[in-house]
Amino acid sequence: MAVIQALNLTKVYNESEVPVRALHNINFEVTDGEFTAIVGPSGSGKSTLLHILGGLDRPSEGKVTVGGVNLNLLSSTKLIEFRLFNIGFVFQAFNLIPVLTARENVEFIMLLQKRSAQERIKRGQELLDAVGLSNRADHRPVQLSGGEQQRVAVARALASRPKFVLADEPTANLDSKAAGNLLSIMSDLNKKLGTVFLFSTHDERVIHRARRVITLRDGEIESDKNNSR
Amino acid sequence: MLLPLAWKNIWRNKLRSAVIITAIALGLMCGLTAAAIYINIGTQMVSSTITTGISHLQISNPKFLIDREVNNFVPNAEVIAKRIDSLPQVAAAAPRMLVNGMASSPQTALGVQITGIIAEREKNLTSIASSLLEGNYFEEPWVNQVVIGQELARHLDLDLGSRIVFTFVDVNGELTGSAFRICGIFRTASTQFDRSTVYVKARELGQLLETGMRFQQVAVLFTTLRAADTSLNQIQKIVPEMELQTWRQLAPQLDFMSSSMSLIMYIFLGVILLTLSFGIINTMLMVVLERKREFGMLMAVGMGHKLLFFLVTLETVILSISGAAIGMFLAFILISTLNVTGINLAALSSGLREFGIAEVLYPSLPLTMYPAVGGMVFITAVLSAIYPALRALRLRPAEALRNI
Repeated sequence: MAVIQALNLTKVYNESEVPVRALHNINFEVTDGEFTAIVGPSGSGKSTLLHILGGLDRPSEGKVTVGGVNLNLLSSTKLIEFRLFNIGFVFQAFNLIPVLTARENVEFIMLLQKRSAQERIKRGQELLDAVGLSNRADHRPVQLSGGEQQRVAVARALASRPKFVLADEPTANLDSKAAGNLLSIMSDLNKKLGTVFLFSTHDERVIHRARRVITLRDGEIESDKNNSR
Repeated sequence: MLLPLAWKNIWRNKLRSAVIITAIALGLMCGLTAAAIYINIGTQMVSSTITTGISHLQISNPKFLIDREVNNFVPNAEVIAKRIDSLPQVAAAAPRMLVNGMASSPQTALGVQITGIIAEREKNLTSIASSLLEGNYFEEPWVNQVVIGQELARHLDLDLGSRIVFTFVDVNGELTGSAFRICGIFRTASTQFDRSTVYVKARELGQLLETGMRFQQVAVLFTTLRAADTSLNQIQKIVPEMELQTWRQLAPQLDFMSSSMSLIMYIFLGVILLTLSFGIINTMLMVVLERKREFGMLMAVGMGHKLLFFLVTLETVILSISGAAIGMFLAFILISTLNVTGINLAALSSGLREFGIAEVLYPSLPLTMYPAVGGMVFITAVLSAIYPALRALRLRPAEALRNI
């Protein structure tokens, strides 16, 4: 079953005198349980595509449906609420709340969802266990390494029980060991929980671990194939 | 979790938060202390004007107010004074003879108001007896005793026991006068009063005026200002033919000061808070710009506009209220201390006394002002938060995350 559908997506930025076409006529579907990489050189439109798929930006043309909901038809307020309950995000620069501990960062999303304290604590602990950080739960981001921060970000992304997780260059700021560790965790959670992971990258290690690879070039899909390992 | 989060966010930049909290604290401390000083000046001016001269209420023959002829008496003034004095809300009431005249010494002369009094009654009405610098209050054995102000004594170059000659017009329109000997020299908060008012015994003045014990005025001192305001009808019924003048009519500038004191203080503090609000807005704008990426992330992961607005507002309110709490606490300590020690303005004494202000000020602030100021700070904080919070809401998550 299709979790995400991108239909004729086009994005043109009109911020400068010359309009910049970031995406052109993108069509694809992501189904349950996928672990998919969107690859391509810098400027190929990877981040723009992820932002549109995640409802952070709107396409100039075309539409995105997530679980059958057309994101174009949602108001800004509804879109924020939709993201809260349906989409998890992992950012390149971790983007944790610096004054909160790892545990509080994970629980924060559930707080926004108005989940009970009991549920927040239980699920927060489960997720920190899953990313191997239960012993670092009470540390603040500044006290964690880059790899640990990104693992907290993955736990946070999953805290809301999303339909899918969008990860924008998740390993770009990590060393080889930390990146490999993170990918293993993401892959395990994908298999264990069935949560869709969709990430942009030009990191060969990530591409190698993905089961499907969509290649973008100049805003268009150059190739879309299953990864045979 | 939002409250602890807001509190932690405030201390992300300790120096910046400390600076704005200190600014608010110092601003409020100075503002409240200045308000306490101003209120004390106002209270002192009202109190000293009432207790040294005009009292709360003056009862006069209407004709006397138009034409200050000595034969425009208050009929049965002594009886009326005793009757009014017996009312529970009245602290004292006494009849007075009033005549304008010339006070002369061998050196010079000056126009004065000669007030003929019954000393034992007047003693309860004014603070002159307790304001004596030298001598006593009509306790000497000789006749024609006079109590004069320090300023008049200085102007006429007279000392205690010196003779002073008063000339004035009697009930027949004839110029008359007599020599008096100074038995007491007083000093009040007003140099103007001390220069222009002298007290003599009514019996002696009445003989010179050829009016006997007939008085031009009955002055009344109530137990409280409120009683003074609410007892007019009752007094008027006792003297239906006479004119009543309250202290508010006799000293309208003091009435304005007294009634507008709180309003002026709130406006004054409002101006201070308005100034501080620009500092608060500036600080919170810096916060929003610095945390652009974080706010973008929060909106991306699902924090709604209302919640984000609330978070920025909460941080602003906590920052402001923290400063206000410290400022009000410091102000309370400072005002309480100054209320005991007093602020001695002896160096400015002559200037202050021209306006009827005492040399030593004892600042005090009604306790009700503290919660009111707390409320003003809260409103200022919420209003100051609006613009920075709107700036935060204008961020678009994709741009906020991409641009940094």
